[in-house]
Amino acid sequence: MLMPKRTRYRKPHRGDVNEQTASRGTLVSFGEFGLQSLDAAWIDNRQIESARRAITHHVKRGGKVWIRIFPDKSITAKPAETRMGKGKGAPDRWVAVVRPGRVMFELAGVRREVAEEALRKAGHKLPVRTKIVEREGATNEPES
Amino acid sequence: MSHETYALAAAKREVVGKKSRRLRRQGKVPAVLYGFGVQATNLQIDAKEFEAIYRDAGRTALVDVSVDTGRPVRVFVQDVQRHPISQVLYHVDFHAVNLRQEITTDVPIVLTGEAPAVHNNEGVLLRGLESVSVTALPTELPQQIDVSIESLEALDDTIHVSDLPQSGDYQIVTESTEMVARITAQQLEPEIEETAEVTEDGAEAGEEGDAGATAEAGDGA
Repeated sequence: MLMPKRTRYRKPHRGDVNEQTASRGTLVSFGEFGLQSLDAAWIDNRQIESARRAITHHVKRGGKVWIRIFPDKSITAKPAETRMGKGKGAPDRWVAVVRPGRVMFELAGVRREVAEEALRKAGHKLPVRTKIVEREGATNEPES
Repeated sequence: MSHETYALAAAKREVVGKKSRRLRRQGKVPAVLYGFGVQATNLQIDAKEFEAIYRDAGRTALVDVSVDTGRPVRVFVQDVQRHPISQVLYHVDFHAVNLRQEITTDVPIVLTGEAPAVHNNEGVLLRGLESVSVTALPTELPQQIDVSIESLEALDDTIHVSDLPQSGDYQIVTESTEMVARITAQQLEPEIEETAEVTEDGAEAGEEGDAGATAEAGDGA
């Protein structure tokens, strides 16, 4: 699963959740179709992996997938039934901070129907509402 | 490659800053005009009219923008800003150009037809460059460069920039060996392996005890 190779600090602050639209990564830049988030959320590496599997499983063969988010923030948690205090909990999971408008996955090299269905299935693995977006000026429609 | 002309009516704009929202609610879009032979001017244009023109013209066709009742200015659409989710138009930049001086700009490559190798499930079409740098007079600039991919019959067949149709009107300046499209073998993305450990660069003293636990905690929960 995705996680940083090394980090400066093991237990970063959680920070405020910024619900404003994303200012970067809002366009489909690599593939032909993309899965865009409509909400702000922390998306952990298991969810990202699950969504990636959903895409590759549906596409079966061919196509190329890009993951445009990376879980670089560690979130700590205290064990169950623990009294308060005794310091901050242990790192529990890695999350990517996602804001509305962020293109999380991109897909290329497959037919439109296949891409849309694959991304729809991937969207169900994520804790946000999603929208399927297309590359601007994508004019490469097979004439058939 | 057509040299159609597009005409767009615009009006001078006094409203700037956050008050532009009022304009957008009225179906107008703030725009700016700058470039050769014109003074930078704030404009407002009709959103629907612009969308229709932009869909056809893109960024590589000249558009005649007439400000109020003045003489039309020949411009390229330089930049279009949109809301990241709703895709509502926010702002448009028009760049006036010297029609007698050559310019170098990116022109989109459009692949036409269907590759036999893809049709026969022998491989996947991989796209390389989506646009090439072209030098031409503004009036001779091709709106797009069409290239047929019906010659891609087997694995590793490739279309390079040198295979693009040439013309006396323009010159392609992108490296001729760059790849435009290629047939590659079908394969799935490799599974992302679980990485074993996360090490901490700037670990504070006294916190190092369970540095290795990070990875396990990240995997297991």
